[in-house]
Amino acid sequence: MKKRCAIVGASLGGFRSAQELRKAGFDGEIVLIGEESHPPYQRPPLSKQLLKGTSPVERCYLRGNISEPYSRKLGVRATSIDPLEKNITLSNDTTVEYDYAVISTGARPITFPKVPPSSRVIYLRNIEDSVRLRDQLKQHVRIGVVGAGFIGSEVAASVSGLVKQVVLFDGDEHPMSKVVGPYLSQTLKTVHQNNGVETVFGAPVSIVDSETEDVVWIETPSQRHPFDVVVIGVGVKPATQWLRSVDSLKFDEVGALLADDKGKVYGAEALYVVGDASSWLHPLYQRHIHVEHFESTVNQASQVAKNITNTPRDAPELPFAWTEQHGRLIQTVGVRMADSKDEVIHRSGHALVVLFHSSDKVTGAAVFDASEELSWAKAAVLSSLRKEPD
Amino acid sequence: MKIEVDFDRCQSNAICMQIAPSVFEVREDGYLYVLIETPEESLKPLVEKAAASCPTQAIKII
Ligand SMILES: Cc1cc2nc3c(=O)[nH]c(=O)nc-3n(C[C@H](O)[C@H](O)[C@H](O)COP(=O)(O)OP(=O)(O)OC[C@H]3O[C@@H](n4cnc5c(N)ncnc54)[C@H](O)[C@@H]3O)c2cc1C
Ligand code: SF4
Repeated sequence: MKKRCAIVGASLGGFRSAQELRKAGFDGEIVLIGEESHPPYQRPPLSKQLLKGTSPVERCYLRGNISEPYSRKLGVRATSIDPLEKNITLSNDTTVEYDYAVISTGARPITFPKVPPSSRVIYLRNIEDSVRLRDQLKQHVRIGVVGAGFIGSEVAASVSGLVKQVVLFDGDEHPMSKVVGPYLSQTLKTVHQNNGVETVFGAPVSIVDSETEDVVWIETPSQRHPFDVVVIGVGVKPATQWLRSVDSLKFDEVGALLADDKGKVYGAEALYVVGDASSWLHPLYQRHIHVEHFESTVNQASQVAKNITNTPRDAPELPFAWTEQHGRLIQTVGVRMADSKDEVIHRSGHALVVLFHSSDKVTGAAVFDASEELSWAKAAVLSSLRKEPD
Repeated sequence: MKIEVDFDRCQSNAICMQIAPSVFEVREDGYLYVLIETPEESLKPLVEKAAASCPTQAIKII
């Protein structure tokens, strides 16, 4: 009998897991289960090219095919899993039995209390959200963006110039400083301002969306701003709620499913997790790390496929992420710890690298508009992490 | 030397093409094409520079 691998979540992590399984020689049945009815697609263009209207929806669809035996169950949600019996129950009251299962259910936006998504309040995660926002970009429109993390900052940058006004709000004085450090956070703020994005940082924000009014209000203790559309990007939460009834599984403090350094979930047989829903033990950091980026997701998909097929794995990779705003590029490698001491290095010309030091190690780095310095930064992090303590 | 591009990641911004036009080409259809998948060793420095400069690190040399 051929084995069956069920994959829950049909986006980047799920589709790539299926592709990598075939690449690694898995010839059993692959069942890909996903809540969204689109073919598997990727999200980075949702805050960039798709939003700006420079590329069509089809361009987001992931490329390549999966060879038979392969089936897709799209538009259905997994509602529970029984890791002992090895089956998954779906929202259409059917069950899928498996020999192996990969969880790739990603993450969902954190919502403001009492501010549900509406035609003018957008939490950006899916194609529909991006298209809904894109269709409202008109020269007379005022847009408020709440949360200057990766997604909020990218949205503000993408829509500036296409609408009358863009204001970016964040409760933090230095948004994104947890990931890029205060220096680059300040740099980004200046870049935003020079490109027509107004910034209101360091004040708590509340949102009032009342049916009786033509506008949505964003309020800080000292100001009140009216907007036609409000975009909220205050972070995401791993979509693991449906797994919570299984007592043997373990989750980290944000709700990501914990797994070993090969992606095998603790407390279950033949169960794996990749992408935004996961927190893997990272051998270089010797702790569990939860990453919400493209590169980690595809690396994890490849590692899980190798694990399932008993194929030798590659050496562990450092987390890597990129963000583009106003034509400026920030790339990060590794992680920035909460107690990081940042070292700002001006390399040749205007190239800027920030090294993140913590406990006598360089745990990560950020590179500003200088992709050619990335490999140098990466090498600095890797050699420091691999060095034995004195 | 073999070039492998992760086409999902590629944003067709043609940075690689500016560096190594004999190897990478972004065409009118908006997609990147790898003109030579196994370039000669003499092209290695250029290809390496192109790979390093890719914002999304879509180009791998194996
Ligand atoms: C707007 C935006 C821009 C981004 N830009 C970048 C970028 O520039 N660079 C970068 O590195 N990363 C970026 N990211 C992050 C990147 O997209 C994610 O890291 C990646 O999508 C994670 O893939 P995933 O498969 O784990 O999860 P997801 O892509 O979230 O996919 C999970 C899928 O599972 C489905 N699902 C959830 N629960 C269930 C269930 N119970 N049953 C069935 N299906 C379910 C969901 O509907 C979804 O389709 C961006 C993300 C967003 C939202
Ligand atoms: S530099 Fe990277 S993203 Fe740009 S066209 Fe080349 S491969 Fe694609």
